[in-house]
Amino acid sequence: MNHNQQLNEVKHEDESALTDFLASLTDYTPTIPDELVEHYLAKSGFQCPDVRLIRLVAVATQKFVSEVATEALQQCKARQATVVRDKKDKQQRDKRLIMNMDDLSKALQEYGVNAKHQEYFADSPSAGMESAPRDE
Amino acid sequence: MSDGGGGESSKEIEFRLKKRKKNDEFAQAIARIAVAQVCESVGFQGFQQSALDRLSDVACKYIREIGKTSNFYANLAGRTECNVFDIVQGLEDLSLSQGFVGASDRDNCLSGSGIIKEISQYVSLSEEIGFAYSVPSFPVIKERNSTPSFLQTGETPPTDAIPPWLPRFPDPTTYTSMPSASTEEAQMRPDRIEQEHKVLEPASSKLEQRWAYTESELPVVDQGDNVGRERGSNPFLTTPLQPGEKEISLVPLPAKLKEEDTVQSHGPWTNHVSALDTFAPANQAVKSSGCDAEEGSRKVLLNNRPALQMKFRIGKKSLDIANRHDDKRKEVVSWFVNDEVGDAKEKRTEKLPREPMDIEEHTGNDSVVN
Repeated sequence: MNHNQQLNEVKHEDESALTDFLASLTDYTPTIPDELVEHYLAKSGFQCPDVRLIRLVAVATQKFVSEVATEALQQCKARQATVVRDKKDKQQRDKRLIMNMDDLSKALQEYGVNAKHQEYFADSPSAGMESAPRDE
Repeated sequence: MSDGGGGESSKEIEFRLKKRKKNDEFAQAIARIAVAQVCESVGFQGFQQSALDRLSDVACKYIREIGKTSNFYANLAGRTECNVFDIVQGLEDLSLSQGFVGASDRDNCLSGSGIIKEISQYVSLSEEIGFAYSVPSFPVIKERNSTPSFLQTGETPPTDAIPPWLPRFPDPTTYTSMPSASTEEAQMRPDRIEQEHKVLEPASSKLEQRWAYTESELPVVDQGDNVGRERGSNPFLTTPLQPGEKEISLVPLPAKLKEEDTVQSHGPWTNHVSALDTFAPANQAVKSSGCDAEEGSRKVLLNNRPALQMKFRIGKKSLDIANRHDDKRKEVVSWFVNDEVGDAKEKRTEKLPREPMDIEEHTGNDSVVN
């Protein structure tokens, strides 16, 4: 009996947390506009008239993007740190943090998105391969 | 994003990308701005254009993925509208690669999911940044004035086979009358798309279908114009003329053309004659008869309609004979008889040699003709 009561209490807490959170979403304006989210959700068959759920999806996406961006920023800063050590010159240090394709692809790799560029393109399958008969 | 499109040619890929660009440019632009704002709040000060495009594309795909998984869970539960639990389950699916608190728990209630806690944490910690611009609701759906049904207009359909709830036919004036200002023709085209779909007349349906296909490619949205507007002066839409309705003048051939005809008709003769040296005696006969034939052909051309032009071709001997004027019918018969009697060899060596032979016989039978 106690166990059940405890479970029920926990459930109520969770539900209240959820409802509170959803209520707070009505005040919070996510950076990604609602219309954009609605447009893309409609494309995939998502039907819901409730604004709070749209906001929930928008917030989730915003969180995802910020996480990827944070990861890329860390990569960028790490790259700059190594560069500074080599040059030993503060003036040459690029103070502006610019998002590169390299940093972004590494960050996306963590999240399971393969966004790599080809490092080089070869003319033919045997380009760059050393021919065996030359080795003696 | 590298899709697994190994089997596509470059052209197909380009076309697909172009198509994607065309339809979604506005949404993509908004996504780019939103993502840039988020990244700016994280700490970035500049972007590579390709990196920004890539990240905004990933964000759009993420939204679509959430929608897909949520819809899937809703359908699994037998619903078409998603609720919060469907979204939470979808988010859990997407975050499994990263992991969240309580991912391995089996009996966890969805309302207490780790995902929700993380998101609420994010909301409380991050500062609220609104979107930089005010976005109108899109895509904008233009209102179409569809043609009213028979019931709505109070008309009765012409035949019993047509139920009254179908849209009514367009005004007959819109597709039968001719002479109107050509300036209206450009405006006619958009509503023609609608009307042409509903015209049931088989006579003009094919033509109009072709139009509908070509014109549906135009980026013109249906304007729902009045059905009663007359069509432009389009000769293809006019009712066909009955035979004899319009006077057709006979075209007399000018003298030049007649000569050319005879020259043309001589051409094949001379060629074939030269090829057949075995018919040596025929050569002279041909040359001498050439003048006669010329005169004969001239007579033919004068008497008959210009459609019957004497052009001598390979393998159409019977036709040519049929085309020749009636005076020579007797010879036709005689020629045929001769051919059947003649050797198989002669028959095989192209039908051409018969032409000079015909002439030869012609000259031979001068008495008959004259």
